[in-house]
Amino acid sequence: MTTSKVWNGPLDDAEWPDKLTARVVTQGPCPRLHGYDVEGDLARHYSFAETVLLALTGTLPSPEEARAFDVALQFAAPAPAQEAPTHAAIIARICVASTSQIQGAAAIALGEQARVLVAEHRAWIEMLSGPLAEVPAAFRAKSDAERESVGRLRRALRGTVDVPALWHDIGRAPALIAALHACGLKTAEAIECALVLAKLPIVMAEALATPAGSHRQYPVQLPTIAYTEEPS
Amino acid sequence: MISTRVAKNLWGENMYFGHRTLADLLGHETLTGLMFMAAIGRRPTDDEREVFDTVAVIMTSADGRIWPLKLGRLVSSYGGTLAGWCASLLTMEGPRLGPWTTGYSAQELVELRAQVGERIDDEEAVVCEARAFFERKRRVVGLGVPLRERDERYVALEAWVLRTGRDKLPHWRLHVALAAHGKRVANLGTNILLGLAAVLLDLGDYTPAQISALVTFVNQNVFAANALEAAQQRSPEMQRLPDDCVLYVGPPARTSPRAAAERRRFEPLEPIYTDDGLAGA
Repeated sequence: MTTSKVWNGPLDDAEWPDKLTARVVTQGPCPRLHGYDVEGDLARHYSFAETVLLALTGTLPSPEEARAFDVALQFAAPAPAQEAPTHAAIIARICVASTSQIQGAAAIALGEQARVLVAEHRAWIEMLSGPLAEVPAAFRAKSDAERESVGRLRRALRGTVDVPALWHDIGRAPALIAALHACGLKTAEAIECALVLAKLPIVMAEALATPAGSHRQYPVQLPTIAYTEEPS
Repeated sequence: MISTRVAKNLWGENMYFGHRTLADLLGHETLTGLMFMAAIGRRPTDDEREVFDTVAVIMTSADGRIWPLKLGRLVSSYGGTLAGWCASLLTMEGPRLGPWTTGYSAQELVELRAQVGERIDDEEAVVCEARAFFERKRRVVGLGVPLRERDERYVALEAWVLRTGRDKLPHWRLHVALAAHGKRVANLGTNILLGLAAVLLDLGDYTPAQISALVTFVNQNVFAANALEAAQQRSPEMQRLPDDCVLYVGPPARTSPRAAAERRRFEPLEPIYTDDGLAGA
């Protein structure tokens, strides 16, 4: 019979809680989200978008906020193949990755994309909490195409929440962030989450539409990556 | 066009940072050396290779209960080794905890070194600037040891530094002065990260960002070992803790406005059932 030696260390001798703390979801056969019965209440009376808003803000949205959130998610959803998250997911599919591996790669890339976008708009998010006087150049529309998109967003949001920022000459990303902010997503973190949530199904759809293992159909020279031995 | 110094595949050979892998590196370079090249872009000297081998061993603190390693084990508990390994690593990039933080400690010492300037050989000036640096910042990345009086990895590093005569080098002396003041005024122990940053800054002309990458690259064994074992175990307890291990502290049970309205609308019309059957029947 072998006996194993008992090794003790700092993690053994320190005091730790004996339970994992949950702050949003309850366990059990009737799970609750922020206190609301998911199966008996939310599923019967609220849309998925409303449940997502509840999850991210802790508060049930008004019908106007929920409709605006739906619109904002749809505007945020397109994730074209040339952008890194979708491009990465397509390559994962070409590498015959499993769905979970493709989703993992896509979610990381989307999270990174959202992190950078929101970081670039941190000052804008702060401005949205107060009266908007003048829009800094960085957040203004750069093209007529952007202005037209913002116009479409403004029209789609008609009858929902008031987004005063949309009446300024702002770019598409600031407009989208302003719409999400008006839905109740006041923090950078919550806005990042919404952006990833909106795009992930689209990224996965594009990846899953790609034939698995189609290495020779992939344009390996795009973009051009040139080897150099020059010091960087 | 994007340029890369990393690699190029040739016919019958593969280039890696300017070296032919099969003709030049095979049989001459180690795993540590290849990781060093990944971070710095050139082959290590013999001294650098030895130091990074030492660093890899000293940094092997792989208890699966440590937060990022536990995270990896949770993700790997469904059987995917690389999923957990990647998930652990994702949490590393930043000035919080783990090997990546070494670069942030290095940045502290680079700033302190700039303040000392030409007076680096003047011990009094070093101590004086270290004090001023600490008093100005109060929070120095690499000072503070959780759960124990001394970081055992730092103790080992210090012994190795003394044994190899590296204790006279500028960044080691700077960190000693900084650590001594932190200990004296705030009872802060010295974390391995600050000592390691000092050793590496004295070793080569690395940037703090390169130091983050270097130390993380040679520390991969701790993440890999936990992810691999957890993937093999596929522990049901990792996949789902028993219910009584979770404490809910969120909002109490409540009814949504729409459900409440519906109840008000329909309740009078709905039959009320009791344990004995239909009430009033």
